[in-house]
Amino acid sequence: MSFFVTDIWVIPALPLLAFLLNILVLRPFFDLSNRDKGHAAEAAAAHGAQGHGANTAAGHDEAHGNVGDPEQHDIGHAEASPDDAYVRALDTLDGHIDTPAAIPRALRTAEKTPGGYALVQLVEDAEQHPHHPHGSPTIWARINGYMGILFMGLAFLWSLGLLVALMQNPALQRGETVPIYTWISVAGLRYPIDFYVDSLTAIMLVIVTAISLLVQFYSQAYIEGEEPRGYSRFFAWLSIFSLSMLLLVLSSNFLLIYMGWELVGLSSYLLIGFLAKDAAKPEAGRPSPGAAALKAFVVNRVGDFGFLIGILILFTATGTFVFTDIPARLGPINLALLTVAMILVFCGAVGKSAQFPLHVWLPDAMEGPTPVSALIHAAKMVAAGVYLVARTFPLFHLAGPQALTVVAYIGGFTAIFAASIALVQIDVKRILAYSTISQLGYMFVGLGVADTIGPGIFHLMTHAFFKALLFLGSGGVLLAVSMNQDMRKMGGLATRIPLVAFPFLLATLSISGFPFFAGFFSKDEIIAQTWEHGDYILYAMTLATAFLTAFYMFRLWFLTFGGKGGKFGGLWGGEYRGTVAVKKPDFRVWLPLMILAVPSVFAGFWGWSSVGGNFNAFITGHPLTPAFANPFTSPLTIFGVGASLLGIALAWGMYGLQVVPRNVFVSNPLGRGFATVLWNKYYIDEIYLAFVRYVVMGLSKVASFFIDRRIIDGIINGAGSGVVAFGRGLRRSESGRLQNYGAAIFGGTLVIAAVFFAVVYFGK
Amino acid sequence: MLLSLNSFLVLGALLFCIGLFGALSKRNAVSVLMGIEIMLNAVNITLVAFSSAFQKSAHGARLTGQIFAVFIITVAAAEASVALATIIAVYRRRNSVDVTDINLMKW
Amino acid sequence: MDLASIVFLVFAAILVGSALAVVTLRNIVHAALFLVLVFGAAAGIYILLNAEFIAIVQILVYAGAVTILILFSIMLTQNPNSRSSNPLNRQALIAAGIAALLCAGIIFALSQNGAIAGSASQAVTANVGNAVNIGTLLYSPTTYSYVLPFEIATLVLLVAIVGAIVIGREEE
Repeated sequence: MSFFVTDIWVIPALPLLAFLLNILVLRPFFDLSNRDKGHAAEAAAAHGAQGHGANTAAGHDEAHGNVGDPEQHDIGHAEASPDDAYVRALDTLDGHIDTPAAIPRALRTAEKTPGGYALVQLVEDAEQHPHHPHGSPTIWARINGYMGILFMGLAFLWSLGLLVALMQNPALQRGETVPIYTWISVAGLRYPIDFYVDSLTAIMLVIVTAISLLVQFYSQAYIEGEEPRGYSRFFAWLSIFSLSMLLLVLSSNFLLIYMGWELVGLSSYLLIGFLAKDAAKPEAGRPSPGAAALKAFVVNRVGDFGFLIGILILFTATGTFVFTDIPARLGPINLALLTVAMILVFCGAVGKSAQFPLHVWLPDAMEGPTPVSALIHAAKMVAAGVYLVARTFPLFHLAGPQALTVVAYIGGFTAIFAASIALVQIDVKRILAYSTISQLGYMFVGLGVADTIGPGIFHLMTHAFFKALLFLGSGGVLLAVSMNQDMRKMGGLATRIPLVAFPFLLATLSISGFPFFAGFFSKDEIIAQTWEHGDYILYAMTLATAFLTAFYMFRLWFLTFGGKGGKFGGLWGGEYRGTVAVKKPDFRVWLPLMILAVPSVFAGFWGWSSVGGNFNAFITGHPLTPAFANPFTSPLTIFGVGASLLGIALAWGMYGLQVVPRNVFVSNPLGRGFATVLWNKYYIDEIYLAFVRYVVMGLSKVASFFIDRRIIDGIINGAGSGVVAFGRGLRRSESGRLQNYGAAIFGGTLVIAAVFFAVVYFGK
Repeated sequence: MLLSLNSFLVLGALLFCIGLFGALSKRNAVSVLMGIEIMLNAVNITLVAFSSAFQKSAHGARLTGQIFAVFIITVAAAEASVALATIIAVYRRRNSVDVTDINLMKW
Repeated sequence: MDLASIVFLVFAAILVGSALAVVTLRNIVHAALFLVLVFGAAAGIYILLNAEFIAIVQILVYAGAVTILILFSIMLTQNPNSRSSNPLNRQALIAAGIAALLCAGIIFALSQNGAIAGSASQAVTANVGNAVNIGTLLYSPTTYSYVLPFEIATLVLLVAIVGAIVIGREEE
């Protein structure tokens, strides 16, 4: 056995080491202590606010909120005015201006508030005395970043080695348990912390480490532009995010996978809420990052609850958490019970992979920095749900057919549902978010209908590459236009930032299912599978989704990079509608995009039998497994390609050439109404909010009033007053008179005698 | 047989309970003391009766009960002297020997 | 019924009757005088039990010393002629109940108990050895004896005397 397999622990150990070195050594002892404290104190003194001088620069990196920036307070107090609106404006400003990049953000937010004029004055003031002249990370923070990248690079190389080793040895592809550590071993119960390596693991490892590596590389530029003070912290969270995902992927049992599962939830919470100082932007329909992080965490809890119950059912039935042991130990298990357990396990996947009822967290998770979005969407969090279903696929097969049907239909519905929402959004990142939900739906359809996990995982792989590229590309766009996410203020960017635009176009073609691109092969295989298994409803759903995907992705492309007046009929460049000057991103941004473009285009060939690709055989570990059907020999492919090309053509016509009027769908009342529903995301958030507000809170109030106040409080208060009354009574017995005590002594003697008598005479 | 051990024990019990009643129910401290003296005498009678009933043993005369009685009498004398001195002291201070007025034995 | 039984009954009747008088009489001086009768009758019972040494000590200590002490303290504390010098308190009824029940319990237990064999009527060999035996048992330095408890008892007496003087002393 290859040492890549036996020493598999190296892969998660590397990000763990990076995390520990970062958070325990480099950040506290070098980064924080080397920040420029002198300037803050000096500035405070200059503004006559010595009282705030104690706030060190290190201190308020940690302080999310309006805690102590000396200069910020100076601005406020120097020009205090009784004007109410002015004070409110101050409150808005307070705590949001922290970085130079944040000033325009805060200004944009505050302009809408009363007293905006005073605020503008204040901001100008702040710009004249910029309080972050060293608004760039310290050298040690950069070293933290380099270290994270280096370690992740090593992990990537190891994963690559593992993949190659597995490709050469089909025996290894079928799975090997690598013992690491036995957590508990008592009386026949053994809870191992073991890793399990098979081809699925290898694929996931390569995806996770590759995407993480590129995202970390890219984050250097992005975080420097958005939140330089959190540089070290960001890389620490990235490392722990990678660690948790790797643990999840490597685990051989439900116990460990649940641990990784929750760690992924935690680290995504930390990363989504990374810009916690930012405020909500209700006018753009965007929550604050803190609220978004909380939402992601809470919504995931709902799914995890089902997952946990599913795990416990399986454990009760078999007495083991180990995936490979469960089928053998199931015995004559109740089929219905197993089906229910697997559907509950799928609940967890629904939460993590943002499928239909629990998808609401993912669009809001866009409030995190864009590299985080790329990680969550491509390789980490959402892939975890698909991976879970793939990993427990044998169990799904053992269960009743209902289990996989549920998986397939939830996936199919989510695919078309999310794609329809994406049609009308104007926020770049949100469109990508809905497209992720939609594509994950494809993966679940693939898992649900096919006989192997091949099609689903194949799509997971190709999707990981092109979706990471799309997100990193959109991050490049945001950097170029100063973090404006509104597509109406973009346009024609292709000629201005060609190095971002070119790979982005490739990824857009890939996700749209343009022939010979990676997305084409994986998506077409899934669509073909639905037809093959006679599931025509799912076939119609996936086909429609393919059309919608092509349309909204090219709508995104034309609105952002193309437009009227561009080359090739508006495809490349055109009119720029924004006001901010476009900045060209440096190589740290476009290099990862270029690298990702390669697999985004070519990864599909692994599943193309014409060039000898047999992904299915690799993933199942049996070389004789038939490859995916060659899409170019099947007449059905015409429909798939046709749907995709139709979508592209329609988008081109509407937004590129502008020959089709843009209000063609919304000119009639029905279309307008439907567009409103889509714009409001089918009101799912509102429904949930109403549910929580009226049903949950209502029940809580009822429970509070009747159960809590009457019964619980009654018991508690009754116990209390009972004790008090008893004590009051008891106090009377303590009269202080010796004769009373004497009577009690002899009365007690009598009682003892009576008890003794009763025991002796009736106890016989 | 009238002069059995039980007769003396019953006598002791009667006396003890009469003394107990006196000790528990009298207001006058001296009277309480008199009740206690009766109780002590009852115990003495019991001890001497046991001593008399079991005086034959392998080791000859067994007079432990009587020795106990001697000690009880000694201690009772000491107790009486101290108690009466206390009563007089209390009387001097409070001008009363009513024990129901003396209720400091709490907390 | 032999003479001893008659003597026992007489003494027992005197004992119980005068003890009841002690606890029931309203005049405390009368009560104190009946107490002397209790002590005397108890001495008679001791003689009946062949414990003449105890009987003599009883007469000396109780009927002599303790009675005098009690009478003196009665004299010092209140008007000896008061008719209600010896009232009952409020829990007298409860105390009576407790005492009666206790007495009934003890007598019931005695009536049930067959384990205590032997008889108090078995007369001790009529020799003068009773006081001698007690003396030996109390003071003998060589054989098994109660020398140490005896010495401690003397200390108790000493402390009691000193204590009584200190407590009863007129305050300046």
